[in-house]
Amino acid sequence: MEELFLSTIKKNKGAIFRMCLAYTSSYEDAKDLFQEVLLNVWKAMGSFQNKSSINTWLYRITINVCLRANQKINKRKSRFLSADGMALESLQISEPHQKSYPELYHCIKSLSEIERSIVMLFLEDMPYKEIAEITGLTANNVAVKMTRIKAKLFNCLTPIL
Amino acid sequence: MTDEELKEKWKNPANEDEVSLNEDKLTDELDSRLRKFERIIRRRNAREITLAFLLMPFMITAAWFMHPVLAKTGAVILSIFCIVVVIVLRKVAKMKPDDLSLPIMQYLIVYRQYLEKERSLLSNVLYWYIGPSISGISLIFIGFHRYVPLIIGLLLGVLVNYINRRAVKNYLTPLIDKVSIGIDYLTTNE
Repeated sequence: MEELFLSTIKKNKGAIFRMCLAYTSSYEDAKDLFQEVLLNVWKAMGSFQNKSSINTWLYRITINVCLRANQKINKRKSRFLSADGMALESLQISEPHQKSYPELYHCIKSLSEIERSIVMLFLEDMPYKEIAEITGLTANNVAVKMTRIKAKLFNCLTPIL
Repeated sequence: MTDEELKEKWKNPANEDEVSLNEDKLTDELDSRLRKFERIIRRRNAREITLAFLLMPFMITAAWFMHPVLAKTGAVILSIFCIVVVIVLRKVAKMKPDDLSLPIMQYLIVYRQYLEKERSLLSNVLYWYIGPSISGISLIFIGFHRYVPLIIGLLLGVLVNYINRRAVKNYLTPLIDKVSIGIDYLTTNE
């Protein structure tokens, strides 16, 4: 279990962190959110069954944690497992050397939370079938929604390019 | 810009280097954090239950020794109230959506059900929390002809009711609306 956890996180750490960045307004918040994702993935690890691929399972948890964290409007103290005010020593996240295409993040953040999750999965090269498994939609519905989301995204990016 | 170019811009390879993990220690540290979190929750639950179970015999004993009938009735109401509060709070806590590996749509539906339950609990706080507790306390004070603490108790009840109503209006309702927008988006075929 430990091996599977470590190899999955190692393989997907960049993608998870990008998602955390897209759901937060600062680098510090993204770091906290990343830790929160790790804690929740590790906690759920025992219940992982091979019904879906480990990546599908991981991204479901990542997005659900991101959505839930984003919805804590007043940062109310809750009974949910969160990483508020704690830092994992075995995890180092350095400041970005060079901001990667900030306009793209800006445009992604202008989308609704659910649109954001769909487009991020698409940008991570997930096939529609897998996005459908993560979101609970049908593959056709994902395709329809993606067309609209891409139109919005390109609309936002065009004046910048 | 093509899809591929967009994906390339999104997948900044620098992100992979920015996040570094100490694999030897990570799971131990996560384990220790989880244990700490569970300990905090266990202690919090134990505190609530202990308080209720300590207050109940205290109130029953008080009812036994109090002479005014009104005060006796008040103490009995308070002893029942202690147990009801614990049962209600534990029931809501059990509804907490724990399975984060659900598909997003399903998770949001379960999350909304939990929030709606919380909202209904706070909206009805007058009937299950403030009403019984203030009635019990008031009867005790009236029984002993103590009117100043009675007024303070009533004012406290009004304040608690106001705080809860404000939480429903400013926090829970906007949150439920936000979650509902997400569910609506996912359930429409457009």
